[in-house]
Amino acid sequence: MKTNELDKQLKEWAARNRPADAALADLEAKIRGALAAEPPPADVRRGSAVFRGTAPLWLAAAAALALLLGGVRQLAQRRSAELQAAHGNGSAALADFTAEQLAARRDILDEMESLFAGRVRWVRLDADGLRLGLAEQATAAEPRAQRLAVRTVVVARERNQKNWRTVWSSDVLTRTEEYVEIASESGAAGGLEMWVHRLPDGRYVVDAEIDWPEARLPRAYETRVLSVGKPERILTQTAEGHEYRVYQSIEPLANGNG
Amino acid sequence: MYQMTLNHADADDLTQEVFLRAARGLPEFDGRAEFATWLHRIALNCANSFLVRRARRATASLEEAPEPVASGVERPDRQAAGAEADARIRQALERLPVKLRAAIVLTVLHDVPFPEAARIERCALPTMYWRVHEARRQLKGLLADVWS
Repeated sequence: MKTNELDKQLKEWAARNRPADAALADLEAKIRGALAAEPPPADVRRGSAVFRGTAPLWLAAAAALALLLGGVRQLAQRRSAELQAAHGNGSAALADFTAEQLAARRDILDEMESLFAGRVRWVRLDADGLRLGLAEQATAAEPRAQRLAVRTVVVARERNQKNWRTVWSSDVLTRTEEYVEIASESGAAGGLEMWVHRLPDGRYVVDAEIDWPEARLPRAYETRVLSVGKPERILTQTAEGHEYRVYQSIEPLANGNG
Repeated sequence: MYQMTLNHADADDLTQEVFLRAARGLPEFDGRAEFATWLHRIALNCANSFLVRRARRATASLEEAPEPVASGVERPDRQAAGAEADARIRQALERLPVKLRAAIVLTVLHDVPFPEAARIERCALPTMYWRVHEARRQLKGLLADVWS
């Protein structure tokens, strides 16, 4: 089927399924009624702080908790040491997971899912500890989704310098199709947004926006197709006399007991 | 909304929610974005939140629980031979991940230009191109036998 033909069929489907005029008029009347029952705009503005505080679905839904658990802290410190040891040549291997790391991340995700049954949207692990994004409601996980670990590493060096140093690294444990939105810890604007989609051939599309002040990287938005176990350089940038490289890797996490 | 939720009753409820949210947010609309972009963004945010909740809540898929036709919505031309094709298209769209569905709904069904669609979805322009490409690829695969 050609693209034009597909688009034409979709448009015709949309036209055929457009609600009848009477149904639209009925809906419009309902909306007008609901709007009429709303407080006037001035009151809404005064009340908006409350609205923001209680109802912003994404923010409330992703109530990020800083959990500095002993075991996690230990793991994070080990991760930090690994990065220190590996950063010299700035190779893609920086973003590789070892079997031990994957097992540990699977255990963390199992543990979090067991603690917060059905509510875990993402877990972020870095050298400082672990943060958790929870859904507002306890719900069962999307059955078709697959658990994953995605590692993002930013390395930098001054121009004309040989050695690279790791300026930021983060592991996100989540599922395919989950929309991950992690605010920066520093309170500054920015954060990490990520969405992973599995292709039929087993590879993954990772759609990521990195706007993380601590990474010192100019805002970067990249979409890449990654294969399991093959870390890739997804971005090279130069800014303020520094070269930056961003590496990413992905690994599926087997389902545990959680 | 129907094109995102694929269910008329849910679409009606969400449309009301979108307009209520827009009315509440209107005093804070700063004019930096086009009004249509802003409204589209609210609509897609509502739809995304709803679809995530529905996907997680559902133990049975929509395929097992077909959408009832809303009263007053059915049109005579839906009785035609295209009804089966309609059902297949709805099922194919339902199987698309939400981000891909939103991309195809915006750019193909609503003719929103790609740069504006990228602003609505807060993604980079190449990402929007990729999403539409991937959505079309998956839809072609899912619907290959319908018009063969």
